[in-house]
Amino acid sequence: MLLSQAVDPRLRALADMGFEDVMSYKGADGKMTYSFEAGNYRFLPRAINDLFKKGIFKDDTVQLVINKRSIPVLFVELNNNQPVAVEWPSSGYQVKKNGKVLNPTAGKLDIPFGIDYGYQLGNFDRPLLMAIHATAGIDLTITRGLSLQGAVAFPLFNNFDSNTFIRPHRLAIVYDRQLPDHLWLSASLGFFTQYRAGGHIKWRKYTSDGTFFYEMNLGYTRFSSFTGKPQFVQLEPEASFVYLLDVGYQWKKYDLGFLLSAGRYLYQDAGVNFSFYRQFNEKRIGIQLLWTENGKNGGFFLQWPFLAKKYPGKGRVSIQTMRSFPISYRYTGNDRAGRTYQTGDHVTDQLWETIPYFFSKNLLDAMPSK
Amino acid sequence: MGGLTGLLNIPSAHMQKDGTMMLGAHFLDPSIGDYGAYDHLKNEFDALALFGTVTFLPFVEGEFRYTFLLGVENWEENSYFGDRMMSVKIRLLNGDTHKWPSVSLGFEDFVSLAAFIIDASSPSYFASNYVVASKKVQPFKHLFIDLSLGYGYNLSHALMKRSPERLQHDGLFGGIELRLHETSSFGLMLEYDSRYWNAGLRLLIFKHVHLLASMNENRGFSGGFTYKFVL
Repeated sequence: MLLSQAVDPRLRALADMGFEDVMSYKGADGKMTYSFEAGNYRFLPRAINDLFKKGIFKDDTVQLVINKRSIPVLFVELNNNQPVAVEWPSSGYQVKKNGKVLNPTAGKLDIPFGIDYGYQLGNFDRPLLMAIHATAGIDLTITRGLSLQGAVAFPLFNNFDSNTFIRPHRLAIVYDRQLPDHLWLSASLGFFTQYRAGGHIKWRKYTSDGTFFYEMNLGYTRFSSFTGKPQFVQLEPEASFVYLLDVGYQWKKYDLGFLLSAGRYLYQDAGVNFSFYRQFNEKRIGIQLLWTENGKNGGFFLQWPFLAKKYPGKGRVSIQTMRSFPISYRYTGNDRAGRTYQTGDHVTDQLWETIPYFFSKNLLDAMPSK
Repeated sequence: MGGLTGLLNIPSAHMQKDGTMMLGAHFLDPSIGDYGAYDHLKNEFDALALFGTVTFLPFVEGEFRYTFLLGVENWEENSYFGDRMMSVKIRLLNGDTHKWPSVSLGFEDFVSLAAFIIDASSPSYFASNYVVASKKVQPFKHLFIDLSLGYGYNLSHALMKRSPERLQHDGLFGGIELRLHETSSFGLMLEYDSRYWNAGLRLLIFKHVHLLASMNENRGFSGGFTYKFVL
């Protein structure tokens, strides 16, 4: 039974907080269910923590269904404003989209701003050569799991290469789908870098608690430039198959992740990439080691949150900042070993914050005291 | 001054709180030439060390540091460029809640050291391998003492019978820090870093900023700041 928004102020309260695709219905078990997306928050546990602070569901037992691109990714059962159960939904779960939906995401345009960079370690009095550019993008949700994503790069500083002009950075159709048994499918088609266009598909399978997964990647790209000839002729013109098998494990006690990747990377480069990282809430710090035909390398990396914790959310157009800023250092410099490309902002890549034990831990750490 | 948890030029066995990040810059006096292998520029230039340190696990501290000399011209002509290094310290015993001291192993500039051992070329200016023990005691109500004692050893010689030109900690080192109480924002330090005696002080301001100042034996001033926060 769908409650009229006129008699359920909680729907309006959720919409006022900036949550999207807000709706309510009675679930199959008779429990009152509220479904929404929290895309206006950079970090999902913080979104739900803010919801608790508002006390919207105090003195009640309800179920929250949290979605990403209209795909249910997390169930949270509340009792008197306290979480009593957190779990992943089955792939067959259907959100009952009948009636008015507040802050719908279909056709909504997000404009993410960010910073991207390239660098090369130099010698002598030029220890670091960098190209830094600002990016302004589009993220248009078309329908469930399907979006159009793109970005334009604006040069800010460059003593590294000749990309000193405004140029297209990325443009792709991105699709995600959840299949049975914690299996996810992600696909992209379009321009992944300034010089490479093609398609990429990956399957990722999680265990039920999310601590272990394996992933298979298959991609084909070839040279295709918005601007004409490539800057580095010897690097880009070749068509390239990329196929990789990734295996990941997360040690719950310390949120310590291990990732082993093997296969063929860009530039006909075969090898192995091993990394381990610590997830400190939304920040990630790790070490990476590479052994490939194009060289051996190693270094560290950080995923650092970028500026705003929360975005406006409401309205058909939303201006946001990029969710995280990647920082990496490679000991032997910016080589061609173990290189891939970015295929877009996938739901699959955001699932780490919905792993039930991780979500619960970060939610409880920030919970307001009763 | 290196960036890892410790006193002035020596590390201690202590760890910061899990998930602590420290970003800082330390000005180093020309005696850095005694520690590093910048032989052709020895004792002529001050230096600046920029570092980022993270307590990656409750018992593991990692650091990335970039050290360069100030005022050097014609780097290419002098065959000089700044030093990048990564270090790690691993705590084997935690003495904070027990009677025994904390004990840690340290590997500073371990990447260059590994390359040196396998005979790959890699400059190694501030390499160091050590074991260090530290203990906090409070003999009186307003006197808190933090003692550290360690030994720097030549790991590459032990493994491969080959030695880098210089090690930052070569032999016995130790130090003491005095504070009014454990969380006091001010501390006095005296240490022997396996070559020289150093004295200095530590001051915490604005809740997250740590200032460090040191006078090194027969040498000049070194000091800097660290911004510390929990991730």
